[in-house]
Amino acid sequence: MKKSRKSRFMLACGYVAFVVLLLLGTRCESRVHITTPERDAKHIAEMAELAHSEAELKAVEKMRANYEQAYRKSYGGAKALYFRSLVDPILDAAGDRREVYAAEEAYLAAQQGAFSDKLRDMDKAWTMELGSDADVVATIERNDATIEAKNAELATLIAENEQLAVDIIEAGYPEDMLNKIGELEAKIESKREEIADVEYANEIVRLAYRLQRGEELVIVEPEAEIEVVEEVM
Amino acid sequence: MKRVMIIVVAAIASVACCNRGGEGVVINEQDHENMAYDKSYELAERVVSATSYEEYQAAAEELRAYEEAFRTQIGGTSYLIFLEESNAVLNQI
Repeated sequence: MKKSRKSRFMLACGYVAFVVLLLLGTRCESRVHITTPERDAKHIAEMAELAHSEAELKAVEKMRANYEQAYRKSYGGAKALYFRSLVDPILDAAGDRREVYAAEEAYLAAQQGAFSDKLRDMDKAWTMELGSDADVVATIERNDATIEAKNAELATLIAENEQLAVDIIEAGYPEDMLNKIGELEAKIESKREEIADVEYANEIVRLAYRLQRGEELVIVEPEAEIEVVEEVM
Repeated sequence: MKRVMIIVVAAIASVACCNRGGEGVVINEQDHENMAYDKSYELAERVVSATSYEEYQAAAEELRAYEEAFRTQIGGTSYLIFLEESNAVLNQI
């Protein structure tokens, strides 16, 4: 009985110690060790100089906010403002590099996209059943006819849209007409996507021909009838 | 208890082996920039000049494995070089 009490007591002590350590750990983690505003500002300047991406820059800005809060808590608003006046120009200068980072990240994303898109297209092209040359030509011509028809539909929609825009201005922007132009714009966008899909299908057929047959697909257009006009002397 | 320990250790070892097999490619940290130029050209060239689907598949798989290795192990300029060079060759087809 005595032993059981002792072991329970030890267990309780263990739990308490664990909770205390856990709380201390969290506290230590979030704590910022401030020294002097000049030294801390210098530290932040060094960190800002090392930042080479948007995420790193955000981490430095968060660090600035933590230091500022620590100064506000320990010494009051005046010291916090003084610290801020030292750090802000540094972070403004680093912030100017933001556009460069964003452009670099966008360029990298474009390269990654191009890489995976090209391999995806090649996968599709290699696994496509091509059939005979006549089948390939028929597919391309069928797609070309679809593109032509859809382009005509697109032109009609665009003309309708332009006319409606003029009518809306003349009618003083009524809501029902504004809704109608919104619907028309959505239709135009969807038509453009349909055309792009068929164009892409043609690209894949041509790529498949190049990869599987080892040569470029050349479609010879039938010669147009030439009208000969006899010169009357 | 001993049996349980043996099973756990064996399971951890096999998972570790499987993960290592998936990673496969290891990039030389001393010479990654040159490796990015050389490997991208060599592998992308193999992809575009493949004469059968099997040949293409093997080359494309290796190219993808190197792309992943450069992205996860090196990143930065060398990874970008790898992508740019690969794209330049792949776009020839």
